[in-house]
Amino acid sequence: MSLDRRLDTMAHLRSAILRIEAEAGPRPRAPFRLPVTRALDGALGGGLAGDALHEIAPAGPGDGAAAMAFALCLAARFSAASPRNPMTLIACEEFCACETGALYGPGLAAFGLKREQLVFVNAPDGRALLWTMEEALKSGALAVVVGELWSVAKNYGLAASRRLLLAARAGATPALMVHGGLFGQTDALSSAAETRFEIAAATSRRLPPTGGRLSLPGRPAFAARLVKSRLSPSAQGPPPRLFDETRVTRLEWRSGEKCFHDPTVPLSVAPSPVERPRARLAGE
Amino acid sequence: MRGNEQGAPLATYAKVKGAQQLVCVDRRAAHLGLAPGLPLADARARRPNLVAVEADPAAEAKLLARIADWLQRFTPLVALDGADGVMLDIAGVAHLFGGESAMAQEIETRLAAQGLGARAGIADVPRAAWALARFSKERIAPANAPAKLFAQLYHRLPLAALGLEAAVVADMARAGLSRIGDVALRPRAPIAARFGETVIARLDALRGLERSAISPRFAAPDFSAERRFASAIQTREAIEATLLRLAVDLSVLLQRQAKGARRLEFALFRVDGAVRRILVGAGRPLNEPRAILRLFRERFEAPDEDEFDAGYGFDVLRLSCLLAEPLDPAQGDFARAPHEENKRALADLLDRLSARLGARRVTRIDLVDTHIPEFAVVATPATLGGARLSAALRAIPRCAGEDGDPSLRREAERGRETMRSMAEGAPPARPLRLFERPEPIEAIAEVPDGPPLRFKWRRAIHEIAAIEGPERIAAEWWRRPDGPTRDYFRVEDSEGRRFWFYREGLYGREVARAKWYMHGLFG
Repeated sequence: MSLDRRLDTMAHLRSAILRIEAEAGPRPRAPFRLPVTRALDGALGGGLAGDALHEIAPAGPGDGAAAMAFALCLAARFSAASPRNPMTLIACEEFCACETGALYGPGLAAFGLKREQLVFVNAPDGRALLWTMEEALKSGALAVVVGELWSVAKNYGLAASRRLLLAARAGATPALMVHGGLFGQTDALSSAAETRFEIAAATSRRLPPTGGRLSLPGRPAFAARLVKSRLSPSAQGPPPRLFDETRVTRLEWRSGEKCFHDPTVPLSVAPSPVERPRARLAGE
Repeated sequence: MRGNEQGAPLATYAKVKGAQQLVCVDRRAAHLGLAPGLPLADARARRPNLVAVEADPAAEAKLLARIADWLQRFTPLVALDGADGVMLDIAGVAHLFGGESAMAQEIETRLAAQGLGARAGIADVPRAAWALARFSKERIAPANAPAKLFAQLYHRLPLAALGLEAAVVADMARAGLSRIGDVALRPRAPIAARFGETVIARLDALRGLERSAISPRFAAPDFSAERRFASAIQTREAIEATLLRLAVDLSVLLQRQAKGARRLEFALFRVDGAVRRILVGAGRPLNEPRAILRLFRERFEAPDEDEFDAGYGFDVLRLSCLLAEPLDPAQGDFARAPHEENKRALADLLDRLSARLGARRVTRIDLVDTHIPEFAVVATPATLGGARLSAALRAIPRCAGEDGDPSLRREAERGRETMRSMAEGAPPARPLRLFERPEPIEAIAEVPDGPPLRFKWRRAIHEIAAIEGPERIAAEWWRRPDGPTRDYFRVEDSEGRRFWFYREGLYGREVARAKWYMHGLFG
């Protein structure tokens, strides 16, 4: 194939994508961005977009719980940033509960999620999970949708993630996708997600021992690596040189304040929730 | 019993008192003189071409239930009647099918088309209809029959038509009483004294002196709409179009009483007798036809729903509202609060998810007052809406002072406050994920009742770097007196993963060697 024809094909494909994008509708305005922590916000363009798909993958086989916990931290922050509409939907593939245990109410409460604001969906398989997330995102009735997919290799790819991204945009709702059954392939996976984190459990800041020899475990801590950050053209983010995919950031979760331990980032920098675009609900 | 017109006579047999006897014969076998009660060997000797099958009461009951379901196309009030009959309440229904005799005719022909032999009887009271269907040549008793007509209809019937036990009938036969007339025309007291009160009671029931109601398999719905088709419909599109029209009809009925449907049933009656029922629930009272259609569409597409097997097609479709609730008066566009709009969108979403995945899969959690970790939460279906807290939850004993002495209550309140303020800054005391079944692990401790040093879980060894515990949770002695005590430990291994596990049983007091179990994972 000659270079000219290749360029032609590329141009053709680009215009096709543009047409599809036009059907899906452009972003109404710059999305709401949720600050995560100072160390990461630069590479994220100011924070996690409130109308996009974000992926969270465990770094190793034992880090599934940490990845889900990190997703729940983000969900708690999204929910707190949207006081008018704080409901969170957590959908898990059934097999996750067998393999790593089911999410536990009192534990979630200790994590900063309110019981009354949670809805759980136990999806029988990966396809049902993706369908559930898409419907939930499109409805626009939730502050955030969290999904835990076990059968990543079988059900998840470019097309599936693209559908989720479009649904997230249509409902102006953030989607957090946790890859329960996939680890070690974080860099290889191709998807339409805007960001991807790789999460490992990190040693907590220990509390002094009360009687025994060993100290006490402290607050939840994670080692987060931002693997992918695809800033959309509309985002007025910083130049991408801040983005370094080899850097590992240590994060500690404070459930009371609903923020990562980083005194310089208060939660209240979020814009007023009234301003959040609700494309579908407004019906215009 | 299913009859075969051309083939050999057919009968079923069962073991009665150690001998094999016929229990049921088809029409052909009956013509050839075979009757229930005949020993199987005799029947075979008389008719060598007899096809005898061992009776299967369970399968027969299943078939009868299916027939009863199918008969719902004629009336909503259908009850099973013993092992071999179905009772229909056709009050106010018969005229829709062209009168009582036409209706009986239609039921018999339609069942015959399915290969089922049936006899219908129609009367004012269930007992009389039962007797007519089984023992009489006349099939229909006129309404409010005068005494003379009653005598004509029933006095010639054998005593078994009263539904008496075989032993009683035999006793009476020995006394020379064989027909209902023999009993009905005699003084009541001596009969009751000799053969029991039942005989008289049954006779009264036959006369209609004592009213008895049937107990239908399904309660009649308050609202329902149906469509009948001369030629059966098969395609999904046609069914959905009909469903929408039914939903419109139903919503008009509901609107009249300012109600909305919380639970709906869509029944599809297949030509060959199979009935398919599809149930959906709604989180808020619904009366928009489109919304109703959408819920059912989710069900049609549900992954566990088997392919829509239309067979030869459906000829009756019925949409019933099983539970209706008053509708909140709708607000116009004038004051459409975004908050209300959100709530509505959420309720619709949960309905759709529940319809597709099943209500058990879309849940919210409620806390239960217990210290046993696995029982501390229950999942309740999200579509239950306001009526979420079940009675079972309320029945659980509350903490001391929760209801009663105000000073105790204050004390409990203060305790809870301190716990909350402690919880704000401290690391979580309960894990994020809990295993449904605690997994056995091997743990090594310095002393049998001390904290562990390392443990092996799922074939990997974890060195413990930080540990908190034990948190002792005793078994609920008021439920199970000898349940083992658990000592929970919150640990972090050298790689930073946090676990929650326990030792079961107190060393030396409850068990000789304690076992360890992994119960949960922290974030």
